[in-house]
Amino acid sequence: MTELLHLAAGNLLSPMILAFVLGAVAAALRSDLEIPEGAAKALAIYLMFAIGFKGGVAMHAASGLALAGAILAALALSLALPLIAFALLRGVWQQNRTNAAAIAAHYGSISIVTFVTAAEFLRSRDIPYEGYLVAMTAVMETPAILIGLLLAGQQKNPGMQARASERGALFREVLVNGSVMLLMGGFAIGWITGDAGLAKIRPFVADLFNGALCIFLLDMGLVAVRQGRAARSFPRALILFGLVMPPIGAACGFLAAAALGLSTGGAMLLAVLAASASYIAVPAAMRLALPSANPSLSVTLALAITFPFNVAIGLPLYLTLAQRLFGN
Amino acid sequence: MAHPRKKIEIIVEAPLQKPVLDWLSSQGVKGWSLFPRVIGGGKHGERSGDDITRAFDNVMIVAVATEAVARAVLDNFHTRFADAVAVVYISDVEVSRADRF
Repeated sequence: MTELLHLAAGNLLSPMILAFVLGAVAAALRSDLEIPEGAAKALAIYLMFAIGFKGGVAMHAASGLALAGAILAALALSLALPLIAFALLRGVWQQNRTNAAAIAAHYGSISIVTFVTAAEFLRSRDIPYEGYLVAMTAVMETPAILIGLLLAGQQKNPGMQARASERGALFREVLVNGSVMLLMGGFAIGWITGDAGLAKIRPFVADLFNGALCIFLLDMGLVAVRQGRAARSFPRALILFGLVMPPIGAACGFLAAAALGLSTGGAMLLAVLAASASYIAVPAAMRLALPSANPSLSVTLALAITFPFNVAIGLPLYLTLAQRLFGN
Repeated sequence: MAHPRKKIEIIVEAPLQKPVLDWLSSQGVKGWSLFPRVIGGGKHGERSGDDITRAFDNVMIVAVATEAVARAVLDNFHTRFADAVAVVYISDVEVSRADRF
């Protein structure tokens, strides 16, 4: 317990988390501080390429077989997590089918920023993790969208039902979406070029990483609080779902990590992936494919409740659990 | 020589941009212009134009068409895109090159 508190305090006092708090405070005080949209996008591109590349470099020595197993496990998690979330939302939180399905899709997908923050949390403590976790991140980004649509079932109003060709276009878009391309592309480049490649671009992808993450998290603090404020009539009972679902997801992540025989660091990161919820890839896809779902429910949950919970409390919690379960 | 036509303006949530443009084309609209990240407010709260998810961004589509085409767009839009966050209206304009619209 003292170990957990120590980790939690160390996490809360890192520059990255304090930058997030700064953003949140600025938004709470209604400051005009903002990170220009183009700059935030550039930072996100940088973070995804760098984390993909570093994962690929770590993969250089590992076998392709381990990667194949990891990808299967990632697919299994993307299938299981939305089903669990959907069952809870229907059974415990009494949400209608459409909203439950849309929220479930967000929780089956992942938050790359949470993953990147967690990877940095491990690196600053010299805890290694398997490089292919990055590939799992990319794999888990989109299948939950499909599961969400299946869970929603047939839409009542035929006029608004996405037509077959539109759904086909949607799946193509989510499969080749920018985050997936960057993560997998960076991963491939890192895997191919290995340590020699890393030596060439280390100042950019490694040394600058934390500073960039600070600014990005500052923006996330602004966005999370503004989203929380914009959500009118958000049902209070649902807040609890945003806090309960991450530990449940983390438990599923630990199960998959045990099946894969991951290290402590790898298990912690897989728990983080399973605990996190998407607020970039999934919301727009849900507006397109499931327009009758209320987007302010799912986005507020993922962005204003689950994301801050995971980065502030989840990271030290999941690491402590991983150390207990998978050894130091 | 000026020819009477109708201007169609559609302010719609960004995720529906492509389906709406495809549908306009299928209705006989020959060309369009688009303003991305349109800021505004209304029934769905305020839309800031810099939403990280893009789910809460609006775009504005402007097109000019014959009255028959514009009427069909106005009459059928909310059936085709039920539950969409959207505002659609048409108004009178004049164009100089009738064959373009």
